[in-house]
Amino acid sequence: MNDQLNQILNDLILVKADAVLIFSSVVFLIIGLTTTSRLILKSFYVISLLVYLLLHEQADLSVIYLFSDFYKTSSIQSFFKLLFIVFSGFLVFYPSEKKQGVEFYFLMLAIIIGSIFMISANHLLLFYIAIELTSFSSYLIISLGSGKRVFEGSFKYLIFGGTSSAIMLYGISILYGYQETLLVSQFTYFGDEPFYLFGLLTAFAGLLFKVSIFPFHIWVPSTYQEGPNAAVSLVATVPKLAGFLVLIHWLDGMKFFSYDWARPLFTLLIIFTISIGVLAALRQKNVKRMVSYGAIAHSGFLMAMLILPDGFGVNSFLWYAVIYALSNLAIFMMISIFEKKSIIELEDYSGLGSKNALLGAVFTVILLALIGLPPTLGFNAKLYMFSSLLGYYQLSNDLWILTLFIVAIFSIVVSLFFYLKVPYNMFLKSSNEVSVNINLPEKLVATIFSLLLLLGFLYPELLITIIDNINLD
Amino acid sequence: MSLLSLIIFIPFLAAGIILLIPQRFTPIFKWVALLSTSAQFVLAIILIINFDPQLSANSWGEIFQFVEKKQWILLNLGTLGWLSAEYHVGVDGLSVWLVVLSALLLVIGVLSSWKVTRRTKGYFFLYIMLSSTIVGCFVALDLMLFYVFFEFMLLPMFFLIGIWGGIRRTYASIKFFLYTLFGSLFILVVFVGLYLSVSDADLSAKLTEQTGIEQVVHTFNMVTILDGNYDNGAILSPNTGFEIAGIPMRYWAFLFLVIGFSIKLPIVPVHTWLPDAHVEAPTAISVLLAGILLKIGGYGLFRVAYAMFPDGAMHYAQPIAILGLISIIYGGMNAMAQGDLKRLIAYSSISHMGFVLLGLATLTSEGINGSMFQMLSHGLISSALFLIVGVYYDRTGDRKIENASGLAIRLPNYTFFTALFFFASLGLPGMSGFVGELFVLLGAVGSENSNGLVSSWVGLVAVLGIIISAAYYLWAFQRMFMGRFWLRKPEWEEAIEDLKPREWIMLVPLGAMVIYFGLFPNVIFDAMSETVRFFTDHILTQGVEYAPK
Repeated sequence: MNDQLNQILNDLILVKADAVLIFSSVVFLIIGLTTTSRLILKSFYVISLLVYLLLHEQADLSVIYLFSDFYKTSSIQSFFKLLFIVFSGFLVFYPSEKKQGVEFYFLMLAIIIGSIFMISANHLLLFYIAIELTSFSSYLIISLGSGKRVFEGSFKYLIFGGTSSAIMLYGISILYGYQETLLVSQFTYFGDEPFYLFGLLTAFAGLLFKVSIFPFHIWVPSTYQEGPNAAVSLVATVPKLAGFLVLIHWLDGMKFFSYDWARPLFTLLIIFTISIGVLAALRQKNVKRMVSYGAIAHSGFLMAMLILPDGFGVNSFLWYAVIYALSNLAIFMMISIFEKKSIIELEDYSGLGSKNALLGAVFTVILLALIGLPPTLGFNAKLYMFSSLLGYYQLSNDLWILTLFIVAIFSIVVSLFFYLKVPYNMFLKSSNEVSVNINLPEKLVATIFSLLLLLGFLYPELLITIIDNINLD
Repeated sequence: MSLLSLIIFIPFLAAGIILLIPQRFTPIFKWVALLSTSAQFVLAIILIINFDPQLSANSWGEIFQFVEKKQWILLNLGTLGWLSAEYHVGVDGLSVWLVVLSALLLVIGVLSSWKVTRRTKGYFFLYIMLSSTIVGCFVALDLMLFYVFFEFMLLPMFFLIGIWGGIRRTYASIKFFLYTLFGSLFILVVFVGLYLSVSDADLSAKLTEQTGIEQVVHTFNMVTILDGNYDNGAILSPNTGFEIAGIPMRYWAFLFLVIGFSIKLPIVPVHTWLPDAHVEAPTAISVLLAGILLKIGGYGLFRVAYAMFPDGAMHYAQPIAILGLISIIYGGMNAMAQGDLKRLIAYSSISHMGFVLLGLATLTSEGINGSMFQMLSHGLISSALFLIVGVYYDRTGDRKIENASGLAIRLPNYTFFTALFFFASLGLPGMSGFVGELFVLLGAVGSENSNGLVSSWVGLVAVLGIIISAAYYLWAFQRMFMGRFWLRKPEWEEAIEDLKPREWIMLVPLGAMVIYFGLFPNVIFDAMSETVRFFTDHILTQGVEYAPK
């Protein structure tokens, strides 16, 4: 008994940053009772994250299991935790919207905590609690949007999310029945038992919902369109990347690719995800909706690197994830700045570029990064992805991967077509040449974000040093 | 900083200055642009003077001069090995001339934009960015660097056509962007395949020593690729048996590159963006488009498609020669049917670029020399022709051939220059256009007997192209400049006046060079002879070596 307690205490010290973050979110709620000043709320939110950064210890290269194997940590987990924290910290620079009181920042913290535990969970129960924490916080935070149809967006999200959670839980229970354990690291290969396979697929379905892979992507456009921008940016990045990290863990732990049909099936889903994302984006008239379809396609790209075996894709995935986070941060910031001035639909942007050349240029750079054109980091992301796919193809001669490669290449042309509608409207159309008055700090932050995308391309050493320190097993 | 880096980065400095000057100082921007491009031009002249044409080479590593090399990206991609990209620039006998040509035309472009009044800050900023990427593209010796310049060029071009162009400018700019991006993705695919197939022995050894574990560094370095340092069994290595639909992977790669660069060149049937882009673009941008941007397509074929895939070049010599032939004839026929003078010249460009492809496809010394010469001479002539159209358009706002006649009576100087460049373009002996086309045709006819790659009839039919070009130029000249003086609208009569000093400054040097290089083509041939010799030998020997057994 005493030994066990000591063990738990020892383990707690290793994850003190995670524990303190939970604690500070509670304190945050209490402070929120006493004040409504947004400045105080924002500063406390940032302070909680900074405390996390201070306490956080870079994990060792090898995987360590804590709390009787419930919890796992290794350098890749620590890297993503840091990414989540830093990313979320930058969200305070977004222009504030109407309903952003204490609950808004509390929910943001809750999503971050949920995501952190999601990627650390080795036990499926812990995982389920973590994913539900992020999901419920996400449903709520989306409903804080100020759009006219925000109810539709958040309700859709709730219904689809709730259903998929139920399905996933059902799948997990079947897995438990066969494996007699919920620890993913102790799972064994179970062969072609039909009911087991059914459980496996349903469990994955819930996960694919989180990362918006076809056919579980339908909630994305309405949800993103209606949510408050900072929250959308968070939901589109942190839980999604966390979901992908869990996917890496599961695919490996459940020996999913031992089944012959598994890789073709996932490849097919990815192909559909990418195609539907870019094709549907073509017809959108609302900028945020267009970007959300683009985000669906990005999910496809991210996942494309995870279905490659033997570490062919993991390095590229890390790069893609970081760059994706950075471009999400920038694009939703931009959208948010314009949304505040009631510039929402594509046609509202017409002619804005002539009087706001700087903002137009910044917007263009960010969109280039999303398309994947040089000279932005987006190009690196796409380049490494293509390298991974082609590199694996040259080894395996797998025609599915080649098809995926071709689809990915073509999707770039299509994405050029829709992403460039914004600069096209801003610069090439001249219906309302008005000057939008945007305050200097917001302009500055947006410019810095887009400069990061450019500088990261020209001087890649910094990111290389960070990413090289991660072990990828 | 070496000479080449200065030529690339001076515009960045100028662009920064432009950004800092407030919008209201409108007249300053064009002066900054002129200063920056003139500096580039002076440096380019220093470059060509110091270029050593006698330098003989036995490997690609030795052929480049003014080389500068710096590690840019060195990245661990796990199981894939390392990725290495460098800032690596240098020139050989082919690219050095293209740099000089670009620098010259960029100065002329600024002069011809002198009258731009709308949003001058943006215009000259984009123009200067363009000037940097163009030169960068010609001197890059790293595939990734090359691709970055190649892609980045699209963006300033898109806005320059889309904002400052004619009535259908948005359509034209988007078409231009989509076509070129589509082509460049084909190129990107091959580049990714190439770097995965080639490794840098020195870097690999160095990293292996550092880490103690066997490391492989895949590199984008063009010289490493050109020298054939392929890994065993990689996707684009020779003789590995990778094939799709029965065609070896290396042939696919070659075809992809030809498609990608042909869109830029452009070659029928992927040429349709060019007439639209030209018609809508402002004069200065047309000059750059015809004078330099098309040459990047040609240069890409030389440097990447042909030099890196000599086996594909030999295997597909005949079909590609025929493609060139179709461009020559079809472009010429189309030019004849045009009522718009600018469209006519745009189509004539397509026809003349067909000669570039034809000459290259023959893989004979004459053909390659001719093809290269044709690129330079077309750069001079076509940009002058677009300036000529611009002069007329400035005064009347119209470009229709049928709307004017007898211009020779009122505008003698203008008529003189028009005649000069029309004749140069249709290949009159004594002018540069003649030399290029003659050599290409010699190569095309002679290929059957020398290396047996292209049948003689291709060259014989291509002669028709020269006759067609004579027909459309003379006919257009006769309709617009001969006969009774008449203009469609009476108000044009007041507006129409002969060349202004600024126009003289632009046209005289071009005219002088067209005649000078026509009379003394050896000035150019001598400087690139070593490179062309090595290039041709390399292709013919490696082409046999790499061919699938």
